[in-house]
Parts: sequence; structure tokens; C-alpha cells
Amino acid sequence: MADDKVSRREFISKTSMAATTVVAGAAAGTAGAQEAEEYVQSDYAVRTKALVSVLTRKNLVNPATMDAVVDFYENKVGPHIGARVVARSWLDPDYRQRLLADARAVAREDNLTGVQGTDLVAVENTPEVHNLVVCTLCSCYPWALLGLPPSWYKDTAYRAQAVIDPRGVLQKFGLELDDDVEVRVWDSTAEVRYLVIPERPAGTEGMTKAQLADLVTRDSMIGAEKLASPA
Amino acid sequence: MNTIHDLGGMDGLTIPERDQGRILKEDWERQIWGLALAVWSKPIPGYAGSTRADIERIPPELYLTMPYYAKWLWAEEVALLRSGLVTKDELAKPDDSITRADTGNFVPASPADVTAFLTGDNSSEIPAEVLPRFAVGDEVTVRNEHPAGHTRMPRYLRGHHGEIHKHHGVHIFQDDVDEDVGQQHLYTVMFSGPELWGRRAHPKDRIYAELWDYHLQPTA
Repeated sequence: MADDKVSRREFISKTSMAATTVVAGAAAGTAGAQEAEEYVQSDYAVRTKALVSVLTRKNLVNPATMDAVVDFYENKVGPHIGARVVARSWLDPDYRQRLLADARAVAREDNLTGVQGTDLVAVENTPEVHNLVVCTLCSCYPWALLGLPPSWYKDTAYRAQAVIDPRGVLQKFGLELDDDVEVRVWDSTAEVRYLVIPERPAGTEGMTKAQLADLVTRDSMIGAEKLASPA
Repeated sequence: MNTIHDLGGMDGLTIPERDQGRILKEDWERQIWGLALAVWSKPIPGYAGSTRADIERIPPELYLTMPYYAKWLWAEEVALLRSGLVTKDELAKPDDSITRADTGNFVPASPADVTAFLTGDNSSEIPAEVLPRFAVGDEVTVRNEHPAGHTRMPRYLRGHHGEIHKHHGVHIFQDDVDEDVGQQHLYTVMFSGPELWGRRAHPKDRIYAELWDYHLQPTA
């Protein structure tokens, strides 16, 4: 038992040291391949715990604030916010025009602003034009409207291929576009964030805004899929 | 810098399935996310880090295999070590010998502070004191420059011709340049697929990206 505790502590110490050595080395531009390899295999949970522990003891971060951040992104913002915007744009042509002309002004009026999403631009999918959003340099995404980005959006392959072969990417996602459709890919290289307004599916006539919003998927608001008619 | 993060146009990687589950899966992912945003919402005095620039400096062989939130962990570690706000020894042994930091009257962000930050008007536009160099419809060429520091000008656009699609006013300029470039207007620039990718591109593909005055010159 005692031996286990010691070896566990030694392990934590060793991995944590390896990680911080390589991080410090990286900061100075001197991280070697072997250090780098140790780093990638080190224990993220242990390192995170150590970092949080040090910062908390130093009174540089408030753990309750960390919890508030997680609660915000897990329970408050998410695709349901963008879905309401889309549903309203289907029902209210004036709102749709204002959204397409100046989505940031609309977001401000409707208190939809927030980190990563205030400088908002809305683009509409039509039978002739299909829009797809990507961030080739990192993972920029309209958090304020859609919450945090899914793994596929942050994936290196998606980021690499969306700009050179958007139709191939969409095909792998299950969406085959006709040859005469124009594809517009939006690479989010600044703080402008994009919301795709998907086409309203057939068979939704007479639905309420809330019913329509329930049909709108996250991925349709990135341009990765079209919405199906309700069964 | 010309490294792996600048992925546009790269072949050989496998497109994933579109995952639909929870985004923050592990406890450590929730913790590092909470930590990163708490620090972002109210910077610690002396904190010298930029998450994007620090993530870009991750060695390429690690960048391709590291979980997404491990990159945020890396960036926070690097920034805090660089700033001297934490030390390697402290991270290796985070025990009771560590006491309050000497940061004057600094009070870390409260839950109310962070909520105000997360829901605030976070525009990067600033009041314009100079005129824009370009107008919608102007033909522009992206500068063929390869800076060693941080830049928001992707490699796949450099040297290519595009058209100003939208003008966004002056936005905070993010590139790491050692000259005073003054206020920088931001534009969305439209490129045709064949302009960027030659015959491989579909003729009806259009690629749009945001670029600042600094990145652009008039097409001769």
C-alpha cells in the first residue's frame, strides 16, 4: 500500500516535471523531440489539477468562477439560441432581411451578444447557394449563438479540406450537392463569426416558431447538413 | 509562422464522423476550459500569453495528435510559466507551501464577473480614425509575406487575387509585427476556387476570408 502511494507520487512528479520542462522549453524554443514525446504521453488530468491547485493557492483564480464558465457553456448557451434565430428568420421576412444585412445589430437588439459571436454575419442557404463555415487557422466559432464547437469542426482534416474540397467534405458528411450549386466557404480568420441560415424544410407549413426551432440542428447552422422534412 | 496550424488546403488527413455528443467530455477538459476563460475574463497582472499564438508554437508532431483541450492546457502552462506567475517546481509539487501571490490588490474574476464577460458586447471593432484603403468590389492581391510571428493571413491565400466582398470597419489588428501599422480596416475578401486551387477546384466554389489592410494591396 505504502509503496503504491510512493510510486504514484513519483509518477505524478515525473510526468508533471516532464510536461513543464517541455512547456518551459517550448516557451524558450528549445523543446527536444524526446521531451515532446514525454509531454504528449503525460497525464492531462494530473497537469490540469496541478495548475488549478497552484493558481487557487496563489489566489489567482477563483474555482467558483471556473464552475460558472462550465455551467454557462454546458447549460446556458448552445445551438438552441441559433435555432430560435433561424426559426424566426423563416417566419418573419423583415427580420430575415435585417439579419442578412447586419446580424450584429440584430444580435445587439436581441441581447444575443457574447464572447465569440458579437461581430456576427448571417448567410442564407438557398437552392442555388450553399454556405459552409470553417476556421483553417484555429477553431473560431460563434460560441454566443451555437455554444462550443463539436470535435469534427476542430478536426485538422475538416479545417484542411473545407476550403479546397468543400463538396467532397459535404459528400462525406452525407450531403450531395448538385453541380450547379454555388458553394461559399467562410474561413473565420478574424473575429467575425458566421451563422448559416439553413433552408426551411418542406412540410413545415403552419408550424410555430418553437416547433420550427426544434427542427434546426447545430450542424445545419454551420452548413454541414441540410434539414430534413419532419417525419 | 508557417507551421501546422495553418491547415487550409492540406491533403492526406481523414474527415471524421460528425460527433453529436457532449463537447467537454473529461473533468480535466471542463477544468482547463473554466480556467482559461476565467483568466481571459480578467487578466492576472503580468500575464503574458496569447492562446492562439502559444498553441501555434506547439511542435507540429504534437499538434496533430494532441487532444483539443490539451492545447489550451499547454497554452496556459506556457503563458503562466513565461509570466513567472507559476514555476516548474510549484507545478511539480502543488502543496501548502504555496501561498498567495504578490499581485497587489488583484482579486480574481468572480462568477458574476465572468458571466458579464461571457455575455458582454465583445466586438473587436474600434472607432475608425483613418479611411479604409479599399471599397466593396475592389480587386485586391494578398501580400506574399511569410512572417515568423503570429499572423491571421493563411498561407493558402498569399499572393492570390480576390475581391472585397464586405467592409467591417477598423478591427483590432492581431498580427505580431514590429512596425507601427496604425489603424487597420478589416474586410471579407472573396476568392474563386480556381484562383486558389487551379483545376482541382469546382468552378462554382467561392472562398471568403477576413483580411486587414496590412495583408492586401490593390491588384495592379
